[in-house]
Amino acid sequence: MNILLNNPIANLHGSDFLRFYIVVIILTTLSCYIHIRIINNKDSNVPSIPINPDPYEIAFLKGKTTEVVKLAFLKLIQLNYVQVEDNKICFINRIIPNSTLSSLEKYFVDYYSDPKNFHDIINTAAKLKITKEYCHRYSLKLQKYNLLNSTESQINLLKWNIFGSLLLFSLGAYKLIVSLINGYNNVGFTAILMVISPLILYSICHNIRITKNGKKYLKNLRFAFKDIKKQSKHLVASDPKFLLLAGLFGVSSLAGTPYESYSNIFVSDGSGDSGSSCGGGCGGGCGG
Amino acid sequence: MCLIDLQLAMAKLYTDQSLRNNFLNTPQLTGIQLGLSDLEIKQLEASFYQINFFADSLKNKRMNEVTKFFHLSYSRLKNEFEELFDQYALTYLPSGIKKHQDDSEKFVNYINNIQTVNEDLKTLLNYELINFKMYNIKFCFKIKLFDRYLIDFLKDYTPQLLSRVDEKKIIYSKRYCIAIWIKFYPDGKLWHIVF
Amino acid sequence: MDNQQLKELPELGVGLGYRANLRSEIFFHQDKIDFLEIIAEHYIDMTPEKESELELLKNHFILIPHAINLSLGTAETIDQEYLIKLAKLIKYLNPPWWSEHICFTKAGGIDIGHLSPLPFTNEAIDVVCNNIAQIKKIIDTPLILENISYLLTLPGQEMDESEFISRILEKSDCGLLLDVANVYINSVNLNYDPITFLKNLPLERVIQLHFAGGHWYKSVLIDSHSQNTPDEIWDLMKKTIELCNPRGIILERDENFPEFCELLNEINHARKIKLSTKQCV
Repeated sequence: MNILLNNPIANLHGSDFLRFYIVVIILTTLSCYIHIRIINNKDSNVPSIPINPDPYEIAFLKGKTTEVVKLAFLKLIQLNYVQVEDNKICFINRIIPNSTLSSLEKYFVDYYSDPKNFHDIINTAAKLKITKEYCHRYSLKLQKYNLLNSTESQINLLKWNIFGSLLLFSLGAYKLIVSLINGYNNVGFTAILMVISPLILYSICHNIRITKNGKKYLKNLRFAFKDIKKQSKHLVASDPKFLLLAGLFGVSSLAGTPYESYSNIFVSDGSGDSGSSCGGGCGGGCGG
Repeated sequence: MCLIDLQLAMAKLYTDQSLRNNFLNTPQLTGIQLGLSDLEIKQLEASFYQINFFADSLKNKRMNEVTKFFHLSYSRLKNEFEELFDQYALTYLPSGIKKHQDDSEKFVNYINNIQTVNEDLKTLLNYELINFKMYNIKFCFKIKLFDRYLIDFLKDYTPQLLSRVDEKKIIYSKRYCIAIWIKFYPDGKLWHIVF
Repeated sequence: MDNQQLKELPELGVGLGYRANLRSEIFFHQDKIDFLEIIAEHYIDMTPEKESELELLKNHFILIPHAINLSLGTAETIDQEYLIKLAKLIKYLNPPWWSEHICFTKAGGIDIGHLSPLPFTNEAIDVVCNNIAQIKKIIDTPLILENISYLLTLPGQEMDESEFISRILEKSDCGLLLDVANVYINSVNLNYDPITFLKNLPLERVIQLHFAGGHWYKSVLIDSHSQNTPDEIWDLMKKTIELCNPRGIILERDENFPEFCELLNEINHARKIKLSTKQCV
């Protein structure tokens, strides 16, 4: 017990400990960050842009199974299987021609019968076994091209994050308790650092899923097909480019298209996806 | 006449409307001022239609390039835009690799200094110019207050940009609006919102 | 560039003049476009967006830089700063060749902003060839020269256009980028026979072709790259290909863009003409 209350760290004066604590925070965050960089930056070529990019694959790369489910329902809306009314999904057509729907989409048509709140559907559908299995092939393919980290790498990185966060929190908590036991009350800064340092570490090191190549690939795809955003107002409702648009830029990019009501579901509650607030009309005139 | 002088004379004729008018009215006098021989004056006089045609196409090309920077302003106020550009084109001749960008900036400056120009057009032009510049620089953080309600103009043009704007919730006067541009790194995304 | 070097230039097929608003369609149809021609000036002093664009294009297509403002025919010196930037771009792209126009765009500090015809004189030939010699010291990638469309014949003409072009090509040892549309448009506006014009050119030096459709304005046919290619230009292209062996053909379109499939149809048609003509030969 004595050694816990009487050791070099416990005996450090307030300002000295804060300095020491800040150095530990920086070193821990830095080592986690470097570790992530090393794993994410594995040397390999960014794949070329395919002629027929798969919107589902892109959606999965961008945002896991939830994005794939959003896209599957967009396709069901496009094919008139589904209607959106007051944030609810209604299935209006259950005759399934085999060729037009994927196994996942067919399953959704079968599985959901009553009108349901859309967010409930998205949340449950994303967790279904069939959805996970369906997306697994995307996961494998994207890992093969080094666009996503392997599950092992992700677990490894997560462990580093958890270990780093625990270390920072424990060190602060330990000093806080020792100081209080010894009758010191000026522990405000230590308490603040104890809370925010794990958050800082998380915010810097949270990206453990997508690799640097993956980000670059996504950026290339978005750049190559940016014009679809501009064209979207003039596309016919059945155009498959809507799926690519939503896969690349998120469902909220469907604003101003026949699928605006679907896009609004995600905008109204603030769960809109990345890319929606990017300057949609900027730089139109970059001609030389 | 040697090539260097002929090219200079032609460049002036192609780009200076008052010089062309002078040449049309007093070909001999203007031709001599340009250093042309009698034979050359006669040949160019005979080709005056072609010179004028080429000069017009240069001006149209200039305007065409400038409208690429101002899609919104041009599509909204086409006639006024063209009229003003015709006036402006007489006052300035751009040069260099970025000449169209330079031309656009100078055009906006010119418009800003004319009191009688439609304020909507002025605001839109200034907005689009800033927008273009922000889009093409490496880092930016800019907030700009416009004394015109831009959203009415922008909503048809950039639905994605304004997808989060719920007009029913706008309770303040539609007199002003604020535009913000943020870019953190050179090839990064430009975060832009108008409200 | 002697005949042997010309023969060694690779066969690129049929491609499209790259315009940013066609980007997504170009990527959707990569397999139908053999190569792209980019306007070099758009990639000098680049913005970050243009840098990304160029890198992306370079990773997916063979790119041919097409310069428009070097002002090869200017009697003043070539803009050195511009030339160095252009050289840097060409080095980065490492294309099989690059191109410029036989014209002047600058004089006495005035940037005319468009391709202006030169007088067909010996002095102009010397000026162009001296400028090219200066350029070749900095850029060793083969340069090919394009014929322009024009309305005005400048005073002091000492020869016709075909002789003017031929002598420049021979003296500067450059290849020819034959703009078939320009040949046709000039022949209409200036009233001459395009076939005779073609036959007077050193066709063994033709490396690349351009084709496009123009429009009529005030009784003048304008090379605006704004319409589908008319039959007359297709016919002229067919006859040109019968007479020479272009390594690449580029469709140019700058305005009034149609559905992309129409551009693809034109590319495909040019490809068919080239294949069928070569088979016949």
